[in-house]
Amino acid sequence: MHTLPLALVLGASFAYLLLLFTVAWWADRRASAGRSVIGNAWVYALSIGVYCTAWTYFGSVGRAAASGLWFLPIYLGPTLAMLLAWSLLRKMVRIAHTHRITSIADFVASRYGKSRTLAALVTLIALVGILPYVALQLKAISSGFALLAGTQGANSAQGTPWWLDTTFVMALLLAGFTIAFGTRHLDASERHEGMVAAIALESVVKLLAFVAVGVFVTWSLFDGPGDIFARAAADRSLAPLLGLTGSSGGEARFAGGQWFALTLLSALSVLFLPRQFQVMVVELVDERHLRRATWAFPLYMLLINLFVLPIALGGLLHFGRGGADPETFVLSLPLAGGHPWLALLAFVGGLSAATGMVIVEAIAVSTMVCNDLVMPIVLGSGRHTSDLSRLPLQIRRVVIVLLLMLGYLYFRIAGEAYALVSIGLISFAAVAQFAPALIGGMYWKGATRAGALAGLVAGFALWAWTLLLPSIAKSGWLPHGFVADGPFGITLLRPEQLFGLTGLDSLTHALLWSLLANIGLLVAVSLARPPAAREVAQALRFVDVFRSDRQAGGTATVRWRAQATLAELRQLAARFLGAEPAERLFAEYAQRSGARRIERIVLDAQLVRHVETQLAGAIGSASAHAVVATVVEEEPLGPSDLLRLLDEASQVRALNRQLESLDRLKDDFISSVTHELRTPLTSIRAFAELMRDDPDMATAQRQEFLGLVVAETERLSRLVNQVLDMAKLEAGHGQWRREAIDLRELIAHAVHTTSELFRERGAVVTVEQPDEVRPLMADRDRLLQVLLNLLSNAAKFVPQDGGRVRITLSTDARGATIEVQDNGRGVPPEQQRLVFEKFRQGGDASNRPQGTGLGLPISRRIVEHFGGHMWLRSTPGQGACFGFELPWTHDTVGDQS
Amino acid sequence: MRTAATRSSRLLGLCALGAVGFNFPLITLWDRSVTVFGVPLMALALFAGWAVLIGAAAWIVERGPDDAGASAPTESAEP
Amino acid sequence: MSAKHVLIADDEVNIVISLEFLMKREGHRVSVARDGDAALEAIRRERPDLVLLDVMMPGKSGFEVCQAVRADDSLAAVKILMLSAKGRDTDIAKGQALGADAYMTKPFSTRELADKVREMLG
Repeated sequence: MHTLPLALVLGASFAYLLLLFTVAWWADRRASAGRSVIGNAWVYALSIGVYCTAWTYFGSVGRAAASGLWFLPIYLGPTLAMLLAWSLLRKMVRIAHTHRITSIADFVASRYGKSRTLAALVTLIALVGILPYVALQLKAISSGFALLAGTQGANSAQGTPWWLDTTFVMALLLAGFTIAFGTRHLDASERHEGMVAAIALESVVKLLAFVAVGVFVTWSLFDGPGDIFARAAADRSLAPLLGLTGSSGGEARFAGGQWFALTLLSALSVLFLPRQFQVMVVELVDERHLRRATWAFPLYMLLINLFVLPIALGGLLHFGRGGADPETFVLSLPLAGGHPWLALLAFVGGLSAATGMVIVEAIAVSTMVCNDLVMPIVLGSGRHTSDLSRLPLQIRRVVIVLLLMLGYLYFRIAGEAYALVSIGLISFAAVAQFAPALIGGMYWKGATRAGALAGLVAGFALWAWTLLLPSIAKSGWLPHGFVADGPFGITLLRPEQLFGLTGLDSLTHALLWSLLANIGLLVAVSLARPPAAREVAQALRFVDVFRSDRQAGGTATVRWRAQATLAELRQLAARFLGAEPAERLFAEYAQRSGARRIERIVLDAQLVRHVETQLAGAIGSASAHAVVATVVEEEPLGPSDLLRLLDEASQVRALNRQLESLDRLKDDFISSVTHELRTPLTSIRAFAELMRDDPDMATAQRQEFLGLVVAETERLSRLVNQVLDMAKLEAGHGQWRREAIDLRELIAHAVHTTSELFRERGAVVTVEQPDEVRPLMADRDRLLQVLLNLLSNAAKFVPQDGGRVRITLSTDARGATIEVQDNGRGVPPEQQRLVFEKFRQGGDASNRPQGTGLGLPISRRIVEHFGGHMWLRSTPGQGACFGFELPWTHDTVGDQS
Repeated sequence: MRTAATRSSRLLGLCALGAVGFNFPLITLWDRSVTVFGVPLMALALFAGWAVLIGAAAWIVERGPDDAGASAPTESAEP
Repeated sequence: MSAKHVLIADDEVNIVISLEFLMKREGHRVSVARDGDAALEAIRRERPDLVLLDVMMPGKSGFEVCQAVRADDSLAAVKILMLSAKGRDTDIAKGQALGADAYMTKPFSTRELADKVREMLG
């Protein structure tokens, strides 16, 4: 058999990997320039092709050579699953994108109340479960490499020390490659455009290479499919491979079950393998791409599987049974046929398949381990005073190396005993354990955290018992009697015939028990105890994600968290996102919420949730929640939400607590307003009634009363307007104009308007201002309102006949300052603070002039809206000076010019 | 009236059809030692059936209205 | 009904005017206090037959004045009718607990107020 020079094989491999890397780098560059290459349904569909790994390349052929068409269910299952993509997958995508979920662990944890325990468990299962799969890739490449370069026998895996083992070296190289690929920077959404582009290319290469070999085998080595099949049919040992029955692994009566199990298993895996979740959910840019993928990906699988059987049969016919390892037919046949370059191409294809899997899987799993396992521990230990923005990346790199090393370890321990396909199926069965918790969580509101936890633990335990341990045992690392007779000879606990269930092949057997326990416990435990408050809210959000999206704004409930300080939140964001991204985050939010300046951002549930969501992208939602919770004191859900939730005693107590505090807050304002409103109403009613009941009232008296009624009506409407004004200002709904204002002219206008008022009081108004003032950008009517307020206040408090009011306008580089000084009684120090509070009025009651008590608070609000501030300076007995400063420039959002 | 809901239910139906048709016992109907165009019936049936399934899915999915599906929200679109 | 002395204790000018007019129409003699301290002092000094007592006043509140008056046995003959914009059951109960003879919420009906005053003054 021909072989290729070692250097050539290595060179070709490196060249190809370099090509992948270049494509990734280029795609990332394009992405940051805003011209993404992956916003394309075909690219998306191709990227899902990462499902086909070295397993497809080598394992399927091997399987077909052993059991004929029994390699196919592994691709039929995903086809059926993709048909559900439009409903199931789209729901998953919608949920994930709504809640910034970036991994399977995040998804499960988030659904069940952001449980960190669940996140950690899922991560652990994923990590352990994926090890066989990684080992499979390593095994495939190493045997392929050995075959191609002729190093077989000289370097067998079992004989050499591990540090010289090419497989080990390869594992290290793959780890390095993956690190370079996926951990160059932290992306809040965990998207890796470069990786997706590379994977899509890699899918194309895989397909072309395999089809090329298939075409070669079918039409060059043989005379077309008819020839192959005819010759296979003629060979008695090969004929059974052409049909279904008679070629399955277990007993014939269970063939149907086995076929179904394989189909189901692979259907679940195409959804729940970490790498599949990554490319199908996290990396998805547009939901509409799902449509194309529904049939394009199955088509891909069909094409790549078209020649599996011909190649397998061809190889068996060519080499004879046992002549060559069927798993590497795709290499050995071209070599035997005198086409080493084709073999090299095939090897590159296989390498491509393996590296694609390893890269995406390692990135996905390392993300999970970082966000859901390590970061919560780091944060929980409290040692997070320093800047943590580099830590996630470092953790992921370590995990990637760890993953590949452990995969290599499994390869050494258990890799030789099994065929590739069987190894892969072990991993499939592991990730299938996510299905009940995840799918159940998406469609059943009653699924609880406890149920998911119980199901996962049981499923994982049974999987380990019935599949993982036997695989290790059969490689000789555990006494053989363990599998044959059960632990300590307890036959009832035999790993492959648990509780006496015989006749099934090990996979179906394992699947049956693990899923049975998983689903059973999920349902039973969920029904046994009602979920906690937070879980039910999440359940509603997940199950009803389509419904709530149709309402305005997405999620239907917003939790109220009180007592968070803005500064602490900013610090938090800077610590985990980096100083600059955090600054941008808050600046953006300030713009959008109308606060203009970051310091002015109103602290409410929306902001806190926004920050938490952004953090979730970097460190996982469970960790983000925990971290934000340390800054914020959480109040339970609001009254309307609680009506929809189950009634737990603690919830009722929380409701009462919250009602009390809200009550207290609102009491002050409402009682003030109602009192203020009722007072003029009282006199209006009284006068009106008095006039009505006394038709003979003197005209002069009647006129006086009517005058008072009119005045009180005016007072009432002024008050109502001011309350509305205040409410609008506080809610940020005020309409603000922006225009150039001549301050000198404005002051003159205000003085003129109040001149009558001052004349009545016998007061004199003087104005001191520069001759020229640059224009100020603000709302003229509002500023006039402020000036009139200050002037009328002054008019109220100056002494009769001797009042002096001085208005001063001064400017500097920063802005303009206006002060109104009167020679009234002044304001005592203890009242100076109160003056700007709603409904407080200065002076004593007996000669307090008419007012609403809202004028100054509103004025202050107006001034602050334009970036300025207002103050009062007063010494009792020496008058009062109200002043305000307005900067020349400020950032406002929502102003109309 | 082709809505997203119709599409979902059709796909669901297709999936159910496939699940039933591609599993035992129905699938064993094709398991005979017959060849069509030189290809054994079982293999041909599986692949042809698979292709038909894909074609049907493509038909259902591509013919529908181009609904305004939601894109993955970017940072700024986060409410 | 003989003319009685009614003290009006309220800080709102217009309400005082209307109450004053009303009481005079009923034929009573009226005096006015504009805050809680003045009200208490006027009650002690003038011993009115009835006090129309507003709750929200600067200085002492109407509740405090009521309490002080009722604590003083020599003022037991003074009737107290409390007036307030606050109409919650708790406030009414509080007023009555402190010894007010009647409690009316603003805005009040002049007829009802006159009737109540007549009733209280016998």
